[in-house]
Amino acid sequence: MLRFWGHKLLQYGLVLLITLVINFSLPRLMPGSPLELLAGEDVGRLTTEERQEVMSRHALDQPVHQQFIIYLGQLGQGDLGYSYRQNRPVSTIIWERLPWTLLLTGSALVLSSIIGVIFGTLAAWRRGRFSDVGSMSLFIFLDSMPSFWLGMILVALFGARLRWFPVFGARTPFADYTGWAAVADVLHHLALPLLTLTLVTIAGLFLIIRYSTLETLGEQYITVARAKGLPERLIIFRHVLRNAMLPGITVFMLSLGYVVSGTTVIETVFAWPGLGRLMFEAVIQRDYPVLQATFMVVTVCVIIANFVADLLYPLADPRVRTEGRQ
Amino acid sequence: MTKRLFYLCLVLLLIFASACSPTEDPPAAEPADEVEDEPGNGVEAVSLRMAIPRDEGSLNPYTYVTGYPGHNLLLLIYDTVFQLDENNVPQPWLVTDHEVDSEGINWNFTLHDGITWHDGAPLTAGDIKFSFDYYGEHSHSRWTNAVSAIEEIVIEDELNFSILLSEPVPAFLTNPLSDVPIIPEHIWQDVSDPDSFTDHTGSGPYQITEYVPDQTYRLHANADYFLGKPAVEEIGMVIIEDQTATFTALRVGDIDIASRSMQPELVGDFAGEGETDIITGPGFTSSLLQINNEREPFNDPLVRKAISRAIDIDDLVDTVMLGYGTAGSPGYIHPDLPHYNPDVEHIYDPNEAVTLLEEAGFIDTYGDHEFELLTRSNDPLRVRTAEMIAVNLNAVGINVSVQALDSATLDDLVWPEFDTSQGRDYDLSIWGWSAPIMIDPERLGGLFHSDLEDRGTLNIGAYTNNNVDTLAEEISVTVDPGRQQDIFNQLQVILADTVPFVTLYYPDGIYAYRPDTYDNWTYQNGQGVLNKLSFVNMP
Repeated sequence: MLRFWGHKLLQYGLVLLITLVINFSLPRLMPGSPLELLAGEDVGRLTTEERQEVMSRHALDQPVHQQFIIYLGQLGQGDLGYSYRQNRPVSTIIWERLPWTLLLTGSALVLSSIIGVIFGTLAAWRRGRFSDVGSMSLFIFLDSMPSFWLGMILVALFGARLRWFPVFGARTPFADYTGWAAVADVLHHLALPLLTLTLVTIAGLFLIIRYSTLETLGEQYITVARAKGLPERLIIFRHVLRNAMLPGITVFMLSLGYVVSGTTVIETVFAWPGLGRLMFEAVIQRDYPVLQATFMVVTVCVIIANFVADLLYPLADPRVRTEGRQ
Repeated sequence: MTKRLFYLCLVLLLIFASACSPTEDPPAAEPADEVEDEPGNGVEAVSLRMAIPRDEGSLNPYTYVTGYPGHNLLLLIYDTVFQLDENNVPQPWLVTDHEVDSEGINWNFTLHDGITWHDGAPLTAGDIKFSFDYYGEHSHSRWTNAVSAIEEIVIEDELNFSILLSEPVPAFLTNPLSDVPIIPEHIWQDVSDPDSFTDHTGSGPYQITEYVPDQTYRLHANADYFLGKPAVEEIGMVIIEDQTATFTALRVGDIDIASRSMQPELVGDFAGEGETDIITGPGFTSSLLQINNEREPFNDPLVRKAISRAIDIDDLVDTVMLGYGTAGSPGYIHPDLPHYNPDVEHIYDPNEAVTLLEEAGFIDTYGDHEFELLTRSNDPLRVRTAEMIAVNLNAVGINVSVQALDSATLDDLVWPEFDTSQGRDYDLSIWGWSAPIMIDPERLGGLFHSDLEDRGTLNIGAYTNNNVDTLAEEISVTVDPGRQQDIFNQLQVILADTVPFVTLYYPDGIYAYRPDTYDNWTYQNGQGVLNKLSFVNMP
């Protein structure tokens, strides 16, 4: 058992190290330079000495392996560096952005999973009837729609035209709400991006649950259950769903890891202050410290989610447990 | 069943159709927050909301980020010694009087009486000297170069000072005096690392009372401003990066003006009698077809001239800019500027282009070669421009394919390390320069001088012409207006003939705003509405 966990830990540690190397070298391999961010708008006027001075202040004039060692040293002390663009500690920026991303993508994941499971099961149960074909067409239609487009349509309709919902941001600027008013304000802003993100992500789990339910429905023990005269509801929820859920759990756990990376596109359309948008801006502007840190956070979260999935899966599927013992 | 499916689709389609169709006037919009509408004089708006596209740091001279709108916002917080008026003529601002000797070396100034900093301390001649000295000692990409010709500043008393230059600076009143912000000595005197200093105490018409990084700024009117309290009591600035989100917010009234110029195709939705309106005017930013003068066959002026003849720039203005732009002058200078030479004119003549290419022996060598035309992928107008130019050039026998790249990659190919002496790796590229590089005549040397190490810092095509070098050097020390104009005229004639790049058009500034909140915007020619004169009157 100890060897098993030691092995796992080593495995995750290795993955982390490899991703650190990639996260560090990828931005530096991209063409383009952060010099404009560092030196200010009129960068063309800098003299050669001034250029060198700026680059050396950020250790960018040193060989890449040297820079990597400095980076690892800082990381070891929990220092994620300073953003070139905002001139603030990267950790502060990430802490500001993280809750917003978790709120949006986390609640979208939960919502779309619940809807996906319920409708997936129902669709399989009512296979070939209108509710099956209808919901499947609808979800596939939504899935194939570009999320930015759906978002823009929803903003145009419910934001700009009907004015039911705010059109940008996560809070009303300058409103200074406190207490429940602040919560209500955030929820009001959350509605449209959440709706968009939920709609475009339902299809994944829906299809998986539908197929695995169909498969389970064909199992002999279901026929036995039917033959025993169990009510259909009981068959579906006690016998079918519990087995059909297994592939769904895998998919859910995998998505959980990506929750922190946010959804750049939807955060852009709704001007939502999340991590995805931060990452995108950092890529465009070659803000190396922010790039490294955000990629690292995402990597760590994916690794943790995998780890948790490893832990939880045996609970959901006893067969894995027994196989593990053998 | 199929019938029900059909209805489902129909309902969905209707929803999308209604969302896509142009918005009709919304039902009685709620009045903007806290605005006391006073018809008649109509200028006393209490609170104004503005969208800006990105964070501008703590908005002091070392932390602001962009040339536009960052520099413009900076100058709402800080003052300059002179101020450009609507027509970009420098007018005394912090000073009442000035005198200059005939060589343009020794300048004397008298400050306005009773100017104070936001913290109440008086602004004196000492602050002026301190600021220029500070910029000279603490490197900044915009200020340090601008003050480099200042030899010495002598303080005579609290209000009087003189500036001694090491050589004449032809547009001294424009840059540095109308460009470089004055900072308070009592706050900055011990600051050794200005890049991480976040104080923003200025003397300008507005002071920053709240800054939430990456989200909002709150600016309040400086009630003690020496030219009187500014017209708008509070300016709330919201950072909205996405263009579509910005203009949707403007439409529903969450903001009252956007700092960014609007895409021409949106004008129809915002102009007119409704809740929103637009202000347009000429813009001094430029859109160019940049040519790599170093690379064969573009090192041959005949080939570059042929490219220029092949491009229908009027069509670009009509089709891409929908008329919201001015066709480019081959002398680069915008027709609205005093130093523009009206004798140079763009000639669109594909037949002549073909003749020129034959004369240059282009067809034999490069008839089958495909050249790359680079453009920024995040700017649809530039992508469209590139596509139309490709059609123009293909028509005369120059095979061109358009490559859209992200801007950092494009910069890296065209202007590696932002240092023209580092070489370049491109054939053709859509490019553009900001307004200051059009207005300040000294910058012309930067654009065209062949000494890439020192003078030609913006000469990203490595254009070489001895006559231009001589004239550019002369203009940078000429103070006589007649001689200046003479040099400008000659320069533009040579540029039109030798084509370092093709000036395509100058996009208009198009600013959408909500007139009910504030309607007293001043359009500074070529530079837009985001300036001090929109809030404070000229003394």
